Amino acid sequence: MEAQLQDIDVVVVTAMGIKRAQKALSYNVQEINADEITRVKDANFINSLSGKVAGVTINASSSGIGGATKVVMRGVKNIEQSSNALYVIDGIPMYNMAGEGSTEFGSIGETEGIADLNPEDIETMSVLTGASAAALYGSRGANGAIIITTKRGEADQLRINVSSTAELHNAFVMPSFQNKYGTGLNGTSEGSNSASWGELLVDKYNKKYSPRHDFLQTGTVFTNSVSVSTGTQKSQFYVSAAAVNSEGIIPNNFYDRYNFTFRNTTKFFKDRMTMDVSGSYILQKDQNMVNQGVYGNPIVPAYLFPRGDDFDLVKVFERYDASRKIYLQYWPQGAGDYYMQNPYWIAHRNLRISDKHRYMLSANLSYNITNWLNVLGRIKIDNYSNDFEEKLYASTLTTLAQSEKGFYGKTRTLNKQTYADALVNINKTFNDFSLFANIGASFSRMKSDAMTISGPLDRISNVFQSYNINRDMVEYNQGGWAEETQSVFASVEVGYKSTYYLTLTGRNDWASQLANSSNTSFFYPSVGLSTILSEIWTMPKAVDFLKVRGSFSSVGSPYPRGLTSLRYSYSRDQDMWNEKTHYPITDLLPERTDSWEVGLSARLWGHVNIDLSLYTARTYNQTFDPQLSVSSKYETLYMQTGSVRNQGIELTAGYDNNWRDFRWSTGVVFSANRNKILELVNNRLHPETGEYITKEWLNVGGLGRAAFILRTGGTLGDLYSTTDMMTYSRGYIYVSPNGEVNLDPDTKQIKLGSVFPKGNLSWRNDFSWKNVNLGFMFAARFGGIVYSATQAALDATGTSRASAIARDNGGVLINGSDRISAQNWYTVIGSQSGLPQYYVYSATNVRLQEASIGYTIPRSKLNEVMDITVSVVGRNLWMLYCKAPYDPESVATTGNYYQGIDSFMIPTTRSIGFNVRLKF
Amino acid sequence: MILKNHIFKTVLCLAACMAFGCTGKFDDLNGDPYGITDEERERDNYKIGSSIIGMQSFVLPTKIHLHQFQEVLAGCAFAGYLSQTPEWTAKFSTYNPPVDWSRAPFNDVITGIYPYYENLLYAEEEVVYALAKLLRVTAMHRVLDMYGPIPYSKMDSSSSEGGEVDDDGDLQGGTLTAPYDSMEEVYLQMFEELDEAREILMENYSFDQQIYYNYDRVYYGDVQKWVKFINSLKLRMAMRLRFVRPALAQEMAEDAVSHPGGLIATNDDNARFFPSLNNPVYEQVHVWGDDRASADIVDFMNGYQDDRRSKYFNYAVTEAGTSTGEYHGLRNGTDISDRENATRYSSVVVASNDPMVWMNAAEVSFLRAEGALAGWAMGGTAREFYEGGIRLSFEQHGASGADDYIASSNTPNAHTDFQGKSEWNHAQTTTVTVAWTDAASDEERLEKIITQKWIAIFPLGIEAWSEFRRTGYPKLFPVVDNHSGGTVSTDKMIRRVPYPDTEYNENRENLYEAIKMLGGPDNGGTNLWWDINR
Repeated sequence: MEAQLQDIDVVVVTAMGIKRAQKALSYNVQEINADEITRVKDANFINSLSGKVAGVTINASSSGIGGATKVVMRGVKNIEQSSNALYVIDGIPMYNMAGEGSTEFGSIGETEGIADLNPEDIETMSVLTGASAAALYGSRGANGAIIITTKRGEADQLRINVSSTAELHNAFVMPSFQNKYGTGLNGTSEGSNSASWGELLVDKYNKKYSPRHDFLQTGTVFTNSVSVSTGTQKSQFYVSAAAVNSEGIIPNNFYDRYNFTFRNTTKFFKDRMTMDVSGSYILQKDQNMVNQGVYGNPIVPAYLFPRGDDFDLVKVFERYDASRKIYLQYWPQGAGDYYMQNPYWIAHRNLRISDKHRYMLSANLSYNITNWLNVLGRIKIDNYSNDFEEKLYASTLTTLAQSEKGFYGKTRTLNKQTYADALVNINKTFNDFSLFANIGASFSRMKSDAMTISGPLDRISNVFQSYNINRDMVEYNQGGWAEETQSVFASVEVGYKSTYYLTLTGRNDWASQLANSSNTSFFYPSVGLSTILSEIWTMPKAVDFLKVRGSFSSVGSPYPRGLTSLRYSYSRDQDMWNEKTHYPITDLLPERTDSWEVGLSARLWGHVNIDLSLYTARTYNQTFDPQLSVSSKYETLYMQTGSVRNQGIELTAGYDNNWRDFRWSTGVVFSANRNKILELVNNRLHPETGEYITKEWLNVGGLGRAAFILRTGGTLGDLYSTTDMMTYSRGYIYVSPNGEVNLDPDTKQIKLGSVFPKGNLSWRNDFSWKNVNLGFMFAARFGGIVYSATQAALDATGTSRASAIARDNGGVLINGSDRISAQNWYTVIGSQSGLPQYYVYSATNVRLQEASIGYTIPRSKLNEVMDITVSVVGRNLWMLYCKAPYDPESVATTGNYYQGIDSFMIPTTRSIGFNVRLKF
Repeated sequence: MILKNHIFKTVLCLAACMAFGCTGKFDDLNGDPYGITDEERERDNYKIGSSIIGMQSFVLPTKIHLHQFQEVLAGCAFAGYLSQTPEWTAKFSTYNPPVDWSRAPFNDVITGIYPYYENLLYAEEEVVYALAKLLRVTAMHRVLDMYGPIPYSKMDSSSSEGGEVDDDGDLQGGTLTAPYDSMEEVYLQMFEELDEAREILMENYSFDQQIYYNYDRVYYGDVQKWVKFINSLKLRMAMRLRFVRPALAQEMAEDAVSHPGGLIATNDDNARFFPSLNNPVYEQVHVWGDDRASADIVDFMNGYQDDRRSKYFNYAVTEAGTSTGEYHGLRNGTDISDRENATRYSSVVVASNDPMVWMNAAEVSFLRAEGALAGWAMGGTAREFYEGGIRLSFEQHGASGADDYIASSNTPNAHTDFQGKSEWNHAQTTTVTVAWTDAASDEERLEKIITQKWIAIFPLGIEAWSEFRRTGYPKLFPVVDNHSGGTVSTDKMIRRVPYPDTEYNENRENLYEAIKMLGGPDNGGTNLWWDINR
């Protein structure tokens, strides 16, 4: 089934795990080899793709080590459904089971399914940014796909690979704080225990408190792995084990992972049959993964700690209570507006522990019937159980614990994925023609089931058992979902004279989400053409290779599950199976993404590679439920309308050359995407009421007074402020006679900008001389905005540097001539997540993202026993340009409408690591 | 090629199976595995029964956050019943509620109640229909008295704009936005609906109580008690119009009192909702620790040496955590800087399984007292009903000493903060006593009636706040920290809650009409229709 190799051809892995010659492809495939992933490691290896692939936006999670990464290709497509990329491992799609991460009313960080992989097991990755590339993977492929091929054993060779890395992390970009003015209000030490609007601190009483130095710690990540590969011509084995042990920059936060993988590939029946079986087992445990928010986030009291107080006193975070015979929280500062507790108490006594056990088993049987015909069957199961426990100790803020004696909750989740397919592959050449075709059918089912029991403790403090939960307040939750897709698909590629290639694909899906609707299945085709111009015409001497390509695809996808299967869900707060609060649903249709792509690949002067793609994609017939006036009796109405277009450019250019022992390789990756809402809800006939509905805009949520508001002609990332200051004529801010400013109670829509980048550019350089190599990469993002509620809270509490400067200047100057007290001003614009227009920053940033230096002691100097490579690697080393008070590339959730919003996100980290690798 | 054809056929067969054979379980897979189907919901009359409970649970909301926003943070704070302990810088009581606070009592009640209402209206069961009409009035008059004009008449699917219900009982048609009605129109329609419900219930006066025993958490299916409730509610609503539409008020009140079904006259008849989960006041006061007794009610009852205090409040706590042996309230509408200290004021006596009282016999008696004072035919004198109301309240709470109390000439206390926060101190607001004197002026007697009613219906926040706005009694302390930006006068106090932002967004034209009907800007300083600013 492998393609015929020609000398200069590169072979890449494409749909269904099929390897194809790159020159035949009519769409953009970008290959990343394993070295790039393992050299500068990250506990979630997806982060190491950042800046290396055009057309992909990778936002690392604020959850810290092992957190879920948001990966979006060629722009956000969906109003409601996820736009996150699909992961495919050895040809089989992997649903990336993960929570999105908490938003406003939580702080739970999440890891994700893909982060469980051991990067050492990865042979290659290729990235298919376009929908056409993924037409064969089914609906989820419309968002683009990351194709991962894992290692297998090699014949007649014993290879042992040992790698050990130690990394140190510390906070990268943080806001600017003050420690000049002390605890209190109105310049006095009275009035508040939690705010820092107090007196100018005399030096001897000034503790010079710094959240970075006094609370945050240096995080550590230790990664150790070993892999063994061996085999004969008939049978090859690959076995690996890896351990990641890490501690975050927040005290008592850790992420640990252990991976074990086994794989065997054996040939039978005169090598006509190949059986490939593999299994892996993953143990992953994490504690106190916090992403953002004010509930149970130790960063909040650490940032807002009242500056006149002594932080050393709260470091002893608990004190023994002789009457209760337990330790109780020490936090005289009080909860304030931000649900503050002692930050060390949160870290050590508000525990959230997640313990995951996952196994993946797969088998793959292929049989070569003739030299041009092959049949293949595959099956994979991927199951895991996760225990999530929450333990809030007695004397935790009762708003959170609901009891003086503590709180306990436990959730057990079982997730199951089963995938099976059968394929027939044809690969034949007739004279000048080549035919490559495959026809197949697949089955995929995902099931998730969770049971939670939680509630405040009732009798004995800090006994974390379900028996001890208050009977009247215990909450049971049973939840779950399932999705099943059955598909048939076919793909045909016809080549002529190794110069012209035509590819046609088609797929039909039957999806469980469409149950009971009039359309229970949908078909989607793609067509592509690739021509090697350098084979047709004689090119100038400089041009070694030139290809043009073009493709069209139309990918269908189901609307969200559960809509057309009417069930009344249980609601705990009413103890009833509740009535629906959305307007009754009528028939629904699947969603579609139509995309066009053209591209060009060239190799010039033997050393320069250029790859350029232009694309446009339109996603339409989207299903979402905008808010209604409650005078309709319902909260929302499901509609199918909405069309979103993404257009853009992807460019990679590279140069690679050797001069004796010296090698230089450099490359530029550039991408730009323009997102536009073509249609929202425009004169849609509502089938039941007969009314025509037009919605000029949709508020899809956000934080506080910042909301993502969608409008025709705008983008899916347009952030607005819904409130303004009270003004009088000509926009001057109204100042009352006693020097107060107020917010205007009427809601407004003040556009702040789009959170999407206008473009991303990275530039990398690798040098090697003999056994020394040196590499670095700069990454830049241009355009877009971010909003920081953290900065607002710092201002409102008088803990920001800005608030101190304003006090130094005797107040804040507004309207050009009115000077009002800094406290009056900042408590109005900064409280309740702030007035967003004062807390919006350009997201443009330039950084030295990676740098590494390494030295290999060659085998020849070590008695032919092994190679030893030692290297020092760094990530996020230097921020050259950034106007935001946090790292604007960090996101709290992988969901659609929280990007660009910072509410006490845990800072991203700068890391420096030391790696030793032994190759036997 | 033969082999290839064979494979093609296999694949096609597989495809055919998928298309026609294997997708049968899709509905089971797709639906919420822990939800129930339409068929399951019909079993054991669950659909109708849960819809009755569903409507009942939005009168005094059982959803804790909705209850908190509507009844506690707004109602109980504005009525001088409960003050908040958290260090919130924006809240109802300081007249600067966050946007979502003014959203919930409007949006959540309406979207919560109407789907159940529709289920009940078309249940083809007279008693159920009557309960639906009645419960909508009971829940919505509270929303009406909080905001002003509301969408009401066009929300009923029996009206032409409301759509029609097909044979399966599903709503067909209906509009996506509805206009608002003036408060007067809503009151008139509500009176008609109460009469309609009353008539139906009278026709079913001996309806078998067992049928809805488990699906009625107030009167357990007792139609006769529901009639008493209707008459009492009608009297309450009639009294609200006493100053704005005196003739109508008298007519409605006299009709309610003279009806053969009677009123809530004994504590056995009290309308009390038994929640299946915790009492929301219990949870907010004792679990969250967010609320403490207001200075207002504690200073009145301390001044009167009211024996109900031990049934209402716990003793305040010293800094050391021991009991002070005294009742001390927390001033309302203050910026709290130290929650720990704020929680040391008197908390409220309420158990987790206590019912939520919608209306008690004492309130009805006080309403009749006021009616008699106005010269209406209430079946007795103002004094009889006034003193009867006090006795009923003492009886309800198992307190002794009603006779001494009735004769008492004590006056309310000034407020002296027990933690020494002198900026929270306030002079005595009134010298009104408990003891009735027929010789006293109408105004003084009205103050006595409303003040005693206010004590007797504790902690029914919105109702007490409405009566405060209507009559000006009891004489509450003004807020300490007014952050309304000048829209609400500290002396006049807050008169209403502004409309939710979502109606500005989704129903703007109708809302602007509503604001015209309101007759003033959409803020907390505008008086409602029945609030003639006495």
